[in-house]
Amino acid sequence: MDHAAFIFSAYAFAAFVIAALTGWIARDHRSLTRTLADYERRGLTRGSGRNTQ
Amino acid sequence: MPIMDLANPSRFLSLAGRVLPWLSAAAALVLAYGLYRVYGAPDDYQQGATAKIMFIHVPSAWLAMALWGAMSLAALGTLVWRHPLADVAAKAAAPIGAAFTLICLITGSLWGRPMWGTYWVWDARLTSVLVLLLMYLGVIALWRTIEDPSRAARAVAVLTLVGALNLPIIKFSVEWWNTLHQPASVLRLGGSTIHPSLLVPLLVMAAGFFLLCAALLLASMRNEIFRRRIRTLQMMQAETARG
Amino acid sequence: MTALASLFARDLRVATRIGGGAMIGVLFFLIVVSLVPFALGPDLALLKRVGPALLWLGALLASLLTLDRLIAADHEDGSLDLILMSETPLELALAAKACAHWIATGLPLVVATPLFSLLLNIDAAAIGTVTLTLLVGTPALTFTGLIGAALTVALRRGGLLLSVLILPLAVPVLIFGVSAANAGSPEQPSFATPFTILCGLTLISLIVGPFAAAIALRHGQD
Repeated sequence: MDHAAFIFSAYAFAAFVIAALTGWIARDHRSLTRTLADYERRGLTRGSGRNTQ
Repeated sequence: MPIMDLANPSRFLSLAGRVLPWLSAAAALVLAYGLYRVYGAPDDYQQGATAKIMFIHVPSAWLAMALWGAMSLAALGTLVWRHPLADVAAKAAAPIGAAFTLICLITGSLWGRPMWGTYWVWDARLTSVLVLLLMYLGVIALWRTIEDPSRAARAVAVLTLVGALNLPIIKFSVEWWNTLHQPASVLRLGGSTIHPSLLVPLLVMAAGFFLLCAALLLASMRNEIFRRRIRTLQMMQAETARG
Repeated sequence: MTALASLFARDLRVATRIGGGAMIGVLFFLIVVSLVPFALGPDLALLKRVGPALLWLGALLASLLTLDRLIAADHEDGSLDLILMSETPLELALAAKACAHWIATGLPLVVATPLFSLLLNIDAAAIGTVTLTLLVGTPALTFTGLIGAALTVALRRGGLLLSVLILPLAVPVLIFGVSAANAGSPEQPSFATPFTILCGLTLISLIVGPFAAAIALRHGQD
């Protein structure tokens, strides 16, 4: 493996981890807002009355 | 005081929602510029082009440390002031910190292979980062093991602060241990000084990483607040179901 | 008898009585020390070289084994609440418990070390050094482990998580303990430096351990 391959792997790995982290946060966000909207639709609210911002 | 306004989660949510797009855009732009500078950076006369790995390795090391610092501040917020967002910030920061620690380790390993022939060297910095990763994973494990979020936050806060105290001790111990077992060559990843033409790309990449990390942290905090609201709703629902 | 002294005596009695703590720790220590030659091969020169390190590792693991019951047992039978409610400062009570625990489980490890050193072909002077470093170092392991015990008190499978949390904190103790134990070999000439640092680490743990554990317990209760 020559030097270019190492450099490429390093950047690729970093990009992969960052993409995975971003993807996980984004997917979580979608599912959480969906669940909150679901609760709101069913009429369940917390004390302050609003579930989502 | 503006900081106190942020203490209200709803306020925080609206602020985060407004800031996040700009922050993400800024991160993307700075990183793009950084990569451009990296591409154009001259080869290090000793290490050749593989020095370019440094432009990710060093910023992720900085972030790994900085995030533990952020978690420690959050820990103080939890234990001393009972600040409502401190718990959220601490929990959100842990996986991000672990991710950047992992990036630091792997890129360090990939840097070491062409340099010294092995994928792993037990030099002071890499070993300290390995221990830091273990500490991050321990914190994440503790978050996941204690059910109640407030109790978990307080336990993690103690662990984080003890860990913060431990980090300089670890650094010192590992450096000392390292000089014992590697008397001959001083294997310092990154070399002793950084040439100015390499400094600018490094700082640009570091800035980009920090912006990226801030964006991820805000987004993750937002998710965590939603998660807690859902938990409250579930508990309320269970209450009313019991009648 | 003051409350503190009676807590100490009670912990000591419990740890030594219920067949658990003391002897199991030493037995585990022996097993680890015996396992390693099976893994490494019976090369006596090699064993002599790595002997002190192996003893330290064995002592570390054996210490971790017994720690999870330290506070969890009190939590289960309600005596933890009594301790929290009493007038005795929580930090002192925890320190007393940790002391009793060390005497019951750590000290036997130290006493067993010279005997187990023979299994690893360590020479006489080195046996003395290793034993001394373990004598000074095992309290650090117990008092640092106290923090993990406090953090994992209410968890069912706390033991493994406790080890995971405590091991990074135990690394400096291990590094300096083994360095001091290896003193006299070409790569580690000085004994005084690592040994003094080890003493320092132990002293720090004697303070930080009970304080951090107390904070963890207090905040964990509401």
